[in-house]
Amino acid sequence: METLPKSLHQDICDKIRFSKLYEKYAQTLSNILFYKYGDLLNPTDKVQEAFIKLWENCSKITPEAAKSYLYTTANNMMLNEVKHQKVVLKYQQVKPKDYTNETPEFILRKKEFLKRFEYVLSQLKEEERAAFLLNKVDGKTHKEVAEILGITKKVAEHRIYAAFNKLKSELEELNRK
Amino acid sequence: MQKEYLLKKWLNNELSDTEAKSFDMLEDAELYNEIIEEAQRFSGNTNAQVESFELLNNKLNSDKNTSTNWIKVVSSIAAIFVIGFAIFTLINKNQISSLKTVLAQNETVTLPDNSIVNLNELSELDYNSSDWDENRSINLKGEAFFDVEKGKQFDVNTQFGKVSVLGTEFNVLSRDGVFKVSCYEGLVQVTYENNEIKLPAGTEFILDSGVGVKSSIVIAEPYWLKNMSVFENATLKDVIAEFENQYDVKIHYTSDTPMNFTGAFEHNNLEKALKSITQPLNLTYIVQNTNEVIIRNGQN
Repeated sequence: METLPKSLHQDICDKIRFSKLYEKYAQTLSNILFYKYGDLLNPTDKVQEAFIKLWENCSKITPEAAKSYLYTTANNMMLNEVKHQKVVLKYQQVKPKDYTNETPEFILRKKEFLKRFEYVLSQLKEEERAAFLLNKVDGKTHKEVAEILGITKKVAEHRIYAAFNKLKSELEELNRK
Repeated sequence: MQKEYLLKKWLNNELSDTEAKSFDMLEDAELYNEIIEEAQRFSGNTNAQVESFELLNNKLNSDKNTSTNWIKVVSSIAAIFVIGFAIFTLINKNQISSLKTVLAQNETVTLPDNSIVNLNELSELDYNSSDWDENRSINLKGEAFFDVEKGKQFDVNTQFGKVSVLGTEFNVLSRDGVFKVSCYEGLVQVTYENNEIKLPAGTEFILDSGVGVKSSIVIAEPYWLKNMSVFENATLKDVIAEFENQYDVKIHYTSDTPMNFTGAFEHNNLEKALKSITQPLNLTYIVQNTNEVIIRNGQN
């Protein structure tokens, strides 16, 4: 019996396989970058560049390594840019919902609340912000958050709590005014 | 303590039913819920939404194109060089060397292939020096002597006809309605109107008023190349005076008949020089001794 010259190694240089990778990781990756660095540094662009890089190197990267490759690549791109320009994080897209049945006072308070929210959020440590939003917004479990951020579950829990605590105390102040 | 415990549990979604009730009883429970609720506004799904794979796919393909763009860049650089070279050669192609002589001026030109052209007075020649190796072609007005190096066909274009050769010595005169080609060495082909005439060494061809005559050359080289005295409608007296000066001889000329001479004589061959003067005028000469010559009418 002849042995196969090469193991049946599945690479990701296949458009269908690659598109599945994209569907699976692109948005999550974008979210992580957005939570960590805000939107001024165009997280979606970084995701795109990372995937393009992955495609260019698809023959060298195993499907198992693709995820961490994407994350490392995109994150490094971000860090490079952060290094080059000091960026003030902004979560500008915040707009109050249309509270049709609410009083003008309520709407005004809500506006102020969201403004404050945005400010406090941007003042959080990036790892706390990322852990908190991944958990509470994206619904990632503590275990998943820990995995994504490369930390232990305990640390992830602590960061989520720390982030919430800061938000709470800052926003409580506003509420009491 | 109780509050922090509840908060942590709440954050971890680990509240039991009873604990949930106590949490709801907290003063700021509403705020806590609001924080989580409003946090949804900052979702990356809406704020940092990635484009569809189809759009990325286009970029993957166009990205492949950017790698071929390198080839484009390289080839456009190459194209610039090619175009530059083409323009350079084109400009060079139009690099016409020309030479013009005025009265009493006699110029020698060495062509790119070391062929020599001796341009007589009141003459003009031009040629394309850039593609000389490919096309040995000269335009001539007036008179010139050519010593052509062996090689490709060598053309002399005049208003009356074309002279083609393959390495030879020849003279071309194209002036005042006279077209004269004299071949001194090798073989010359003269093309005029629709005629082709081959001139071997020692022959010349004269085209005068549409009539072509082929004859043998008397003088071995065109007179004006050598030290010669050239006359045009000069009195015989003047010619003789010049002759006496050149050869340091005494010429006895007895005839009183006034005669005019058009032609030339050499400075270094007495016999030939005498022939040059006497024959056209139907005279005879006798060399008495080294410094005395008698010229008479031919009839005598």
